[in-house]
Amino acid sequence: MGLLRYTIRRLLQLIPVLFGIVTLTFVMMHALPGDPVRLWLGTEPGQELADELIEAHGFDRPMHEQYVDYLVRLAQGDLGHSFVYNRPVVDLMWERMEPTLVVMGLSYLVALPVALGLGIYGAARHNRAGDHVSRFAGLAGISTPNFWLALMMIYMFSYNFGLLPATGYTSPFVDPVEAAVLLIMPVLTLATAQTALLMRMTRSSMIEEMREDYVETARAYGIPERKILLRHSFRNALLPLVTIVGLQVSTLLGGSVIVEEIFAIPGLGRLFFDSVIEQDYSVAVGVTLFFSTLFLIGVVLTDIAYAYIDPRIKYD
Amino acid sequence: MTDNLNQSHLDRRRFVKSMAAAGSVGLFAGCVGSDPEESEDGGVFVIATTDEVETFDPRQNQLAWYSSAAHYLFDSLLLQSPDGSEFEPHLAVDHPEEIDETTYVVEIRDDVEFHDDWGQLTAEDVEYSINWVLDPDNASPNQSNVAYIDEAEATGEFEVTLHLEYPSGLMDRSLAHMNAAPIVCKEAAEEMGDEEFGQNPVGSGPFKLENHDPSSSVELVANADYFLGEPILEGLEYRIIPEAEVGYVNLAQGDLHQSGVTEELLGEAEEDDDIDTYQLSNMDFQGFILNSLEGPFTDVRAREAVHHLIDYDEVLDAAAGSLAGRNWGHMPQETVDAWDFPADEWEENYYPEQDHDRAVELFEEAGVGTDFEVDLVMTAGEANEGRSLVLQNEFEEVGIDCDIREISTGDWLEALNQADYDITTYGWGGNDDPDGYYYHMFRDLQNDEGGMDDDVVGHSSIGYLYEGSRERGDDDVLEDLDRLDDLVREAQATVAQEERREYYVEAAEIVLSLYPVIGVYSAESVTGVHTNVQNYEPSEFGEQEAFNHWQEASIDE
Repeated sequence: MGLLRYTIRRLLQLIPVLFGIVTLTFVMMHALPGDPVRLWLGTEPGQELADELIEAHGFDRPMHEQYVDYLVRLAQGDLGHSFVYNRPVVDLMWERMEPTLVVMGLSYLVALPVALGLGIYGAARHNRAGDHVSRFAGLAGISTPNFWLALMMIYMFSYNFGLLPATGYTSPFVDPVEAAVLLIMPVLTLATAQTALLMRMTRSSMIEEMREDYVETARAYGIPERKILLRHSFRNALLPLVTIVGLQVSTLLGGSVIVEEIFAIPGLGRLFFDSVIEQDYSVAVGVTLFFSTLFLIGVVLTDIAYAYIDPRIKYD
Repeated sequence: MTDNLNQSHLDRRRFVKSMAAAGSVGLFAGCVGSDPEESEDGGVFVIATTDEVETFDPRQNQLAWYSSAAHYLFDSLLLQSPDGSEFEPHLAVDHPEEIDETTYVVEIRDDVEFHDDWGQLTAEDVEYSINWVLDPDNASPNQSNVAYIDEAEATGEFEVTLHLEYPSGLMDRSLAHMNAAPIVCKEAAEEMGDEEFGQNPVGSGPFKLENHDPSSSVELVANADYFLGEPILEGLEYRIIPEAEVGYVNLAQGDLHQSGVTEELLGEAEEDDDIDTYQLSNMDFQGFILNSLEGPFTDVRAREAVHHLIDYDEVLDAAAGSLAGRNWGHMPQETVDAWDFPADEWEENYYPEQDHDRAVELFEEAGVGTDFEVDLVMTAGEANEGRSLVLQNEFEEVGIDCDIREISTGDWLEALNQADYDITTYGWGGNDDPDGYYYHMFRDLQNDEGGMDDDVVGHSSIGYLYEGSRERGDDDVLEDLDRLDDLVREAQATVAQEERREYYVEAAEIVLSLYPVIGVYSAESVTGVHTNVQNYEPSEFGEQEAFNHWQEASIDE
């Protein structure tokens, strides 16, 4: 099966998965106690006003009717209308998409080379001082909660030393220099755990590969160690890494909620957080759908990358 | 929610955030990255806020901070003075002139222009703005704040007649605040429609909207044609920063001019020579509600017993530390002082000293003894946790088991609906008028027009005391409660302040003697202002503080 057919098939397989995610999110949001109107109005809503709003937004209708309506609109590309903002969900998401994607993308760009470099270094210096240091750093990175790391960075670099602004976002497409300064702490916060995990995976995969017979054979042929490491062992060690890289999208999405909240980045993570607190159903489901799609695309790309990396794997 | 007439009713965000015990002023907290713009002409005043603006239309707004900020974009007929003592004519030339007790005439200024060449503000705009809020089809959250008005009528180019349903002691207040009767441009609002007007507001205020980066910042620029003159400030910028602590970091860095200061950071802020701190009342009520419909506290003696169990100062300290003051008659100290209420007398009669023996005696007299369990419900937050733990400890000291149940805000609303608690933590944001507390917490909701549905959260007031007393046929209490309901309604519909005061004194004594709630404290917040801001003092009462009749801020770099 060719790459194109395989990709199309895999993308089509996403539809039932996304349908399940939408259903689950929709049901979970509606299962939350209370209703959005009363949460919006506070503890003492005027009955008339509450009734008007509940009816106007269809919250008084049975959940299955609301669900079918939502699916029909979704099939037409309409993610619905935000109860809280009184605006289309698509508009709200579009306005906040760039910061989330920029922060996530840059985190990957930082995490991948650092993790691969340290992982390979650790494997090459197995059980020596450099390896111990990188292992310890990896363990610390994985163990550090990102909210704590974010606050500590602000405390150190903004409050104590005044080196970096604590919060804010400027598009790198508008002002790359200011954007770079503002993004240092959020990106490092998000990248730290990714780097640590990928570094440890790289290291262990590489150590395993370095014990294979073909490595011994290569050494016997006098091939330089560096070449063995990078040309042969690394390529074989990539397969499990690619899996992790793909799955890490979900971790980054989760982390983005916290990072955006603390660094006041106007992204989808904050929109999602607020929508859950306020039971703004359409927004919560819309953002979940977007995040899920992103994650699933990451999984599909991972699958495609498998076959590219390992010719033994076929697109069938 | 129905609400009273200032920015500080327990609106949605305040309500949700207060459950999380954010502990900051709500209006200001937070900051962003780049330096605030500076200028010899007055600069841009950069203020932090925690919440995103959902709509710029003050007729549809539910956020406390924007109710205050909207005064920079829109004007009102009157404006409350920074010390809270007066309502000064603003768009109005003078105070409303009384024709008879339900008819008032307001003459408005003829030199007010809307932003961006939308033309002159006339009586038609005032008529439109008030009637729009009154129209039930528009579902404005402001509606209940002007419900005493039957209709506004433009009776001249610059004259509006207000036909009232009934006289109101809150008229001046409602005409002064954005969560009641903000004046918008009729032509723009009609032409744009609700959704677009919410994003592109057209008002007549001292600043106009320049830019809104969603979830990031709101930039206002000075209105050169403002009727009080062009502001010295070039503009205002609200930066949206969810975390108050992070906001303070930016204030300390000099990246902005005003931010909330949490209690933990107060010491640092006070030591910082570049920051002036202002401790302001939140104008709220904080304490507990006792379930008087069912459970161990249906008897007034059992409720009184709980009052004997606690040391109020200890509860206050555990809940809010230094950021709170005692609350008397279920109103903040500022209201008690302004109205000269007999707080000493109330303290002596209804706020007993801690006396566990007396508490046990009262539990025995009420027939519940001490062999029962208390279900204490709270939502998350340090303030709720602190006060709940103290109360739990007091119960356990007299041999009563008390379980604390922490639940989500949604579950809490359900618990209130279902009376699924014995005691629950409670807070209510009012204003400096007693009506802000008494009408909302202590009236009988069943006497509202149309009554209330059985599943309505209005039971978070003392609705359960009314309902329970009716169910039990407790005629003596019912007689008191009927009187209480009459008093709070009459007080709202009475103009003369002295007469209103008498109503509230009597109402307070009825409520206090029935012990349905434990009023412990009113919270306070600290806002920090950079010392380079000149001629500016934040106030819990005043609006449009950076540019109004009393002060005009500038940035001195």
